Amino acid sequence: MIERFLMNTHYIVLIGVILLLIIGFFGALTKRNLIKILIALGIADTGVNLFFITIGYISGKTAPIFSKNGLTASQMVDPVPQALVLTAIVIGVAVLALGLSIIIRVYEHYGTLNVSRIKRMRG
Amino acid sequence: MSLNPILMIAVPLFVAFSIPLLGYIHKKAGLYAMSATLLFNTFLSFSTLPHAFEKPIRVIIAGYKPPFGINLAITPFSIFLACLISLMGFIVSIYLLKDETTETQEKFSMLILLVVMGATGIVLTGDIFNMFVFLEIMSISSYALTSIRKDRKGSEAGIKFLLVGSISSTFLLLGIAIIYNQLGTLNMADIARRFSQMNPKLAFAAVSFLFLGLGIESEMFPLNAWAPDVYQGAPAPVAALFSAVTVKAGLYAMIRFLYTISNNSSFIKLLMLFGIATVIVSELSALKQTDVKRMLGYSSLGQIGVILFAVGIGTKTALEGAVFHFVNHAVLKATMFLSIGLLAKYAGGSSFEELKGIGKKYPFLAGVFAIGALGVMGFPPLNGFMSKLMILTAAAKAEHVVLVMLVLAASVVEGFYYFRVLQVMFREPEPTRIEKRSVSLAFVIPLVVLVGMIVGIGLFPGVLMPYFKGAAMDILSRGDYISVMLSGGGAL
Amino acid sequence: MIGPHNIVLIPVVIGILAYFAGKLVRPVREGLTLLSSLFVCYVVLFKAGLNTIGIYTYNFSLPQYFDGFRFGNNGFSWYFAVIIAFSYLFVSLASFPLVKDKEYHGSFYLFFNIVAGALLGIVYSRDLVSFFIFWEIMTWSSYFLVVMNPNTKGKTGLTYIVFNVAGAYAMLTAMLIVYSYAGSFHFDRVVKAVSLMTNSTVFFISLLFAIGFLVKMATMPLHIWAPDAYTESEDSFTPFFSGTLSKMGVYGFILFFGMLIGFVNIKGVYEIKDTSLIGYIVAWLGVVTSVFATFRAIVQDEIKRLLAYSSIAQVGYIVTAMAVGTALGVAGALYHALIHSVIKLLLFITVAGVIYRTGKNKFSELGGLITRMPLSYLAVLFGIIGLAGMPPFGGFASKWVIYMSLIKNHYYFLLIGMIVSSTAAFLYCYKLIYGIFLGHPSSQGLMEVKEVPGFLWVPQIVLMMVLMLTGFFPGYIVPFIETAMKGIGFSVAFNSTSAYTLSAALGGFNGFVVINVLGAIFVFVFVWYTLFFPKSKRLHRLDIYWAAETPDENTPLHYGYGIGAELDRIPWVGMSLRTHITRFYEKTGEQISGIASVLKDVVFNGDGQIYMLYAILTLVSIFLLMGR
Repeated sequence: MIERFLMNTHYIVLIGVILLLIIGFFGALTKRNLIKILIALGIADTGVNLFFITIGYISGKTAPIFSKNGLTASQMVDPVPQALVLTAIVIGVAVLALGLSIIIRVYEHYGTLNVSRIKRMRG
Repeated sequence: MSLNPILMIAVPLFVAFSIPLLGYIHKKAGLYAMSATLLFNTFLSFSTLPHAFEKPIRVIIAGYKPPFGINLAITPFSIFLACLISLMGFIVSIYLLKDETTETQEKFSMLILLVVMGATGIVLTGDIFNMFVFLEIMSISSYALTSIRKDRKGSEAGIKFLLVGSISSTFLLLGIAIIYNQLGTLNMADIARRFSQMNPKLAFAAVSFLFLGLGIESEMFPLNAWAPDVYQGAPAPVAALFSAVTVKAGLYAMIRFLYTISNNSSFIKLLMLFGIATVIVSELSALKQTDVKRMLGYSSLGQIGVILFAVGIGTKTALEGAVFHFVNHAVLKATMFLSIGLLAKYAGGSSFEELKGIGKKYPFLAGVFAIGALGVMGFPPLNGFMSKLMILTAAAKAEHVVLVMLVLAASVVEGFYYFRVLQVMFREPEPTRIEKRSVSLAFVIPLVVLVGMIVGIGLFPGVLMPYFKGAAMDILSRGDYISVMLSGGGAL
Repeated sequence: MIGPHNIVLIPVVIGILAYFAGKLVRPVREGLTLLSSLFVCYVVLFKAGLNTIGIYTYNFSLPQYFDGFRFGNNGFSWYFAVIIAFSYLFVSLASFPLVKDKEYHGSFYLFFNIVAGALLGIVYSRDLVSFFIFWEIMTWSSYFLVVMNPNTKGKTGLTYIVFNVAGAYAMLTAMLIVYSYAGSFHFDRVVKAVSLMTNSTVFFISLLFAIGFLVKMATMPLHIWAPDAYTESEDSFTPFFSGTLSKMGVYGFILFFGMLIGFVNIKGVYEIKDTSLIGYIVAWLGVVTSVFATFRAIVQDEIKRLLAYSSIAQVGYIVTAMAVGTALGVAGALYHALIHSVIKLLLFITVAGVIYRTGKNKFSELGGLITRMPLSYLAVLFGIIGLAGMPPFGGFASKWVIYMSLIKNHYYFLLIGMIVSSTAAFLYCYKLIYGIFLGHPSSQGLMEVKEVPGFLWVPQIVLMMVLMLTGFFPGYIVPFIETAMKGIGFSVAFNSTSAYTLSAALGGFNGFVVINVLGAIFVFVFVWYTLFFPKSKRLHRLDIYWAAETPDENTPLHYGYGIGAELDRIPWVGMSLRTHITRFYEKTGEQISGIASVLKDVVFNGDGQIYMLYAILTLVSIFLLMGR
């Protein structure tokens, strides 16, 4: 049972996905530093991306590139998730960059990166 | 002759990224380009409207027919919202022509275009991942717009918005991934057709992830805690755009997902409870505010709560009322944010203290604000009344009398705080520190148009009624959506 | 074609027109308003009169399932429309001099015309939605008229709007429940739907409707808004406010309980002595209101506040009479509604004139104006005779009908309460006339004031004549009330035979005989005084003795105004006057705002991380609660 479980790469990767998500959300909810929170959210995002890749992955099949003659669609992995993940990565990078630049502004105004002290707007 | 609706997305995207170049030609070229593009979008969406109401249109991109490839699904509900979004975007953009919120005019107009483009994309697309991408474009531009002034409030609101928004995007992506894992398709009609084939546990997980992700975008309590900060911190026209455009797109996505794609009645019921909670918490929180912009933010959340409540009831009348309230909320909140933005600019701030007696200095602007306030409170003959009445009628018909009473009790609270603001504005003695300046025509025109819409829709609600009916039918007739989108839609 | 369906538009359109035209030429506003009111009177009397009974569907481009607005007319609507139209005319005349130089000139005429239109809309509407629409328009436009005056306290306006909006929403809830049974908002369908409802539903909607209308009539315990709002609103709007606007509660109450829900229907639910439980409770509320308000009126020093409490008390009689729900009771309520409108218009217009001329609004600052303002003195005299319900004026006849309805149903305790309040009313009536017109003028300036402006004479004289005629010829009113009653499906209450008499189940009186007897007594006393008493001598104001001192400018000489000020030293009465129900509402408000501030500080606590936590927690709770 255990052996079969470990043999199946899907499950291992899925555990990784869940771990990444938990690490990410845990970090986002417990770390006080804004930059760390942002990194933690990035980790969670990576988890989701990994999940996407896993969906499309079919063990024993190759990349969906029509370069080699004689390669048919049935021998390839699903290309759609890979395209989606590329998009998602780009989005993640954009959010990260924008977040960091806003954090710079926040630091200029508050002199701190501690998220629990950046709450002048409340109530 | 009619143009391809894909231009509603392509043209703003193209113009948005060429605006930095236009900046070299003339300092204000970007602003005019933005306005012109939004006018084009308005024109195009309105000219597509009658076709889509005849029969939903399926726009195939790059020759791949659904369920493969990306396509646009232009149904009555989506084109109606596209009209609303581009029209509100255009009205706000006229206001922006003279507005000196930021020095970085190019970035500003680019981001505004991107927000409107993202929202238009959300309502038009027929592909769920595409919807996610548009949602992200809209959200990222919104984060940037929130903190574009680089001041303390804007930055704080921006970072909070971004943090919660990232959670939303993670949830959405997870949900989409689960759906793709199960069904191997991203086309919304195809997902809808085969949704029941999913493993029930995973289907539930996917629905709850998407429900929460879209709940954050559509400002549902308790996921809306960032929203008041954003409404307060963002520049007033941006706040107007948020409440008129981005929330509407989020709500569209929520409705489309719950009704058409998953058709999950327990989550629809849940939406009703969340809606009521949103109404009550937001209206009560607004009661104690001392900053008018923040108060408007809470009030906006309250209206969103009413819409969520109506969507959750799920009868045809309720959905008609909800779509009607979409329009009214967009118009009213845009009016109020734009007018309070100007008043705050002249008064030096938007707190009660600073706005004392401003109505005597600027009777026109404060009068516009007052009309908006009366409309939001749902006083006849202004537009907020009829939509609220439709929603409440539907709720009573569905025997949710207790919920009706809760909504009405919240409305009493709403009346209290709005009239308190009006009294501060109009009854306090005329301030001496504020000097009277003339209000530019670029500010007056949008406000006059919006007030005209408030009164006009209020007096003749029946004019728009066929559209509400069509949209509500579109939301409810899931089978039609699937068959039209998979087997071919109407012509342009 | 002008008729019940579009008469509403006349004042509203003219009001908006006047607002903008007045920016160019200021007096245009007065002229247009007067024209509009004259036109409305003409239309109500001749074009939308009793010959236009029927239903007009007027689809104002509405959502289809509302089936359009319906307007119609019957005797009942017409009765109130006449009251509205003439009050509109009189008040627009009176407002000529009073608001001429006010800074809120434009907005006064705008909102005043809109209010008048809304009131007409209320009485002519024939479906719940248009009824509610005009009700709400009335609420917000009258709110602006209340807060327009710079002297109004902010709290007054907020209390007014919160109570009235809450009342309207209670009503709306009931309407929506009715709709969910009837599937339509039209009155005729509503009647059918009510008969299908269960008893508890009928009870519930009756309660909600009653709350809505009792707020408008300022009945305890929902009257908190009224004294302040009546006192502090613009002087020339107060006559309309107290005289006519409060009658919309009467209209609504009788309309809903008489015609739509039907006294018969609620009777079946819980019944006490031939009256429904709600009717019985409301009747008691009315009496309690009138007793308390009368005593509170006595202790007031501000003229308008005294009249405000008096107005609350008088409407309390109407509430009791109509809550009894018999034909005679409703007839008495309608009769008294008319008389009270006339009296309050007369008194408030006169008082507005006095305040306009003297600039003083307290009894302690006035006095001795009888020589300076004889016409106003006469007007107030007529008014208080009516208020006290004494013959020979109309106030007697209407109260008499109300008493008769109570006696006929054997509500003796209600009757006793009402008589107590009527008797106590004499005290404030006396204070009203003495404090302003009799006694010593309290300052030299009062010796030089002029009579109230000429524009006020017209309403004063006309209203005095109406009061007189209704007293002399009570029989002339009877046909109108009978038509109004027929409009809501009541049978005949009176059996009068001639114009002079008013007679019903328990007896009648002849107004003409009464006036002749009283006139003879008056003439006799007058002649006797002139013949046998020495001529009085005119003295200077300060030419009197004062405990061996001569008074100077600062010595208070006007005493009688203090009448009733010691009332709160009487053990029971005083306690009931001091402990006021306002405190309950204040505490409730504090509780709500306390909840609100805790809620906003806890939920929106400003920490971005907590906001993220909400999302995760909601996800977890959805998984836990629904994921099985």
